[in-house]
Amino acid sequence: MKRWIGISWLTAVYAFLYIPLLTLMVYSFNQARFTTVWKGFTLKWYVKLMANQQLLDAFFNSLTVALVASVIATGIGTLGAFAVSHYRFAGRKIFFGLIYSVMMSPDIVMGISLLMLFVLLGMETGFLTLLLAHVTFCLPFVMVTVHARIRGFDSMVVDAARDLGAGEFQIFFRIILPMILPAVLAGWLLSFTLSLDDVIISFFVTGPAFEILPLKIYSMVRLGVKPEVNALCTILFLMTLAAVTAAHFLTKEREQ
Amino acid sequence: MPVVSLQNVSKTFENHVVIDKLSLDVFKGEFLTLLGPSGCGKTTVLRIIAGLETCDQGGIHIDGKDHTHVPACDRDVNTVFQSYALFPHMTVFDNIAFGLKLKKTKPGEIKQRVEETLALVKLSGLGHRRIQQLSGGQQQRVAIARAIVNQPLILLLDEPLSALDYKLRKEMRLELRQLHRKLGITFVFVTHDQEEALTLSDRVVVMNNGAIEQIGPPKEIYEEPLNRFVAEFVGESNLFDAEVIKTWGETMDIRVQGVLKTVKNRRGFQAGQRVKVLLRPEDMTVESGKQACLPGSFPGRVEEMIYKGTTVELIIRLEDGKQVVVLEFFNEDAEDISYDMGEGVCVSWIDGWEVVLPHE
Ligand SMILES: Nc1ncnc2c1ncn2[C@@H]1O[C@H](COP(=O)(O)OP(=O)(O)O)[C@@H](O)[C@H]1O
Ligand SMILES: [Mg+2]
Repeated sequence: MKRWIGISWLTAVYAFLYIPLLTLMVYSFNQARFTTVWKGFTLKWYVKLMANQQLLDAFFNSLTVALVASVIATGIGTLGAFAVSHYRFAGRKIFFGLIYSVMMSPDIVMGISLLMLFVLLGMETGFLTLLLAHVTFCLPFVMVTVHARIRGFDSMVVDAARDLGAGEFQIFFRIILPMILPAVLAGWLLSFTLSLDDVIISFFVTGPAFEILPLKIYSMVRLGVKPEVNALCTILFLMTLAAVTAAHFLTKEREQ
Repeated sequence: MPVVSLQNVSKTFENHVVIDKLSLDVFKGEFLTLLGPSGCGKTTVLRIIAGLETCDQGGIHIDGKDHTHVPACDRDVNTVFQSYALFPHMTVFDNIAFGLKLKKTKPGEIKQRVEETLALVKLSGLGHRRIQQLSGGQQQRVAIARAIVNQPLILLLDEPLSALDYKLRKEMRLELRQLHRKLGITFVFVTHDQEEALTLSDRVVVMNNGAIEQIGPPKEIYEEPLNRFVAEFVGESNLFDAEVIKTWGETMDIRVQGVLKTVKNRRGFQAGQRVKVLLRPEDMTVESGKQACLPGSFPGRVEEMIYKGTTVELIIRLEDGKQVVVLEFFNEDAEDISYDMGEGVCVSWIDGWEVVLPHE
């Protein structure tokens, strides 16, 4: 009896979480153009999608930004996490606390404040501003992920390397980096998906010349949801799922 | 010329003085042990020698050259860490080869030296293993191998045996001694275990609260402790309060437990001074107390008899309530050592085996 309650409860939770997504995926294979009535299976929306040059451009732009931003954020974030856990300096704890506040601040606040900054600096919104914004909001996630990993191992290992003749550079590349690599990769994948998915911040900081996928979709659905969009969203969701799953296994791996 | 020389080194952590104007010379090729209770600053001294910690005041010379500001990576010193601190992402071979690779040693020579060192620590054939696949004792050997393969001037060992079980610890003790003899490297060894210190070392440095209480060969530390701390930390001891009655030359009369005794006076004590008399349990004797005790011995009662194989430990309560520990050896000609609980006995010591310490 108890078991049954547990199972039904779990089913309810997962249904709540996944029914919207499943609906979207199912309808991306629906023949009908305007109705939500099932008219039979088709792949034509995917084919159509491939022919939509505007959408493909936006998709390519999104991938470019996500890739470059996540790589930069991972580089800076990894070094930052290393510095915070490795060197003692004044305000170290406050510094790390500030990282969390960036992570928690609402997207709309981030978006507006970044826009204000760019305007103040006289920068024209476009690829560069978008990239900087994405690096900014990805950075804390990388730092937190990598920092947790660094904290997890014996700090004496660094002393041992130094004792055996390693300088700072060698300590980082031969000892720290190999040991935190799974966390670095996880942080990178997380950044990649965050950047790929972002709508609100991007809305403020990109210009008309540089269209990215989530914003393109957003403008499309204002005129009604097209089945191509369903297809596109399905592809996006699967990409995100793959990245998140990979990140999860990378952080879990070797922990035991 | 000492191979390591610390001059008036002080170290403070967060307003807490951990090392207090400590000076120490370590001589080439010796096995020196830092012995002291946990928290007394042993590891800190080791880390200062390794260069992993800087000193706030004072300086350090290694091999005659000022090393006060030389970073750890440029010192000809290697450490075996208490937690081993092996590199978990490398094989045994790569762990041991790490130092040699940094020194740009040729691959052929690296291979040869690592293999030799593996043989030396009895791990031949385990080079390809991952660290996680080794037992605690084997990890310990890798940690030693990783340090000695570099043939440093000085090897520092921070409580390397403390994580091993009793039997393994005794085995490793012997192996460390042999290793020291074979390599001829200067060893600076840290422990809080007095037995380990006494059995391994050429010289023992007894530390307390970041300062040195006494330096000397194990026999001297044990038999001639300079003060009460050393006496009580190194080995078991009975301490009696006493008063100097009369002195002449190297001899004096003292009153202990209401009994007058004539003892050596090596430290120039004066009549009227209060002193402590230290006696090791094995230096005390027990006589059956069926007759009245002879002059110079103390009456008491047996409270506990602990059989220890080749010896018997007697816990005796003297008449004034003081508890004394006496160690009796079984020897062939003596009759059985056997006392009843509560049996009256007379306790004394072999003349001249006492150590008289200043009253602190
Ligand atoms: N990095 C540090 N920061 C603050 N206190 C420390 C640090 N290292 C050691 N101490 C303190 O210094 C004292 C001596 O430590 P240590 O040298 O490790 O002693 P031992 O090795 O003899 O047990 C201890 O009270 C310890 O808490
Ligand atoms: Mg210690």
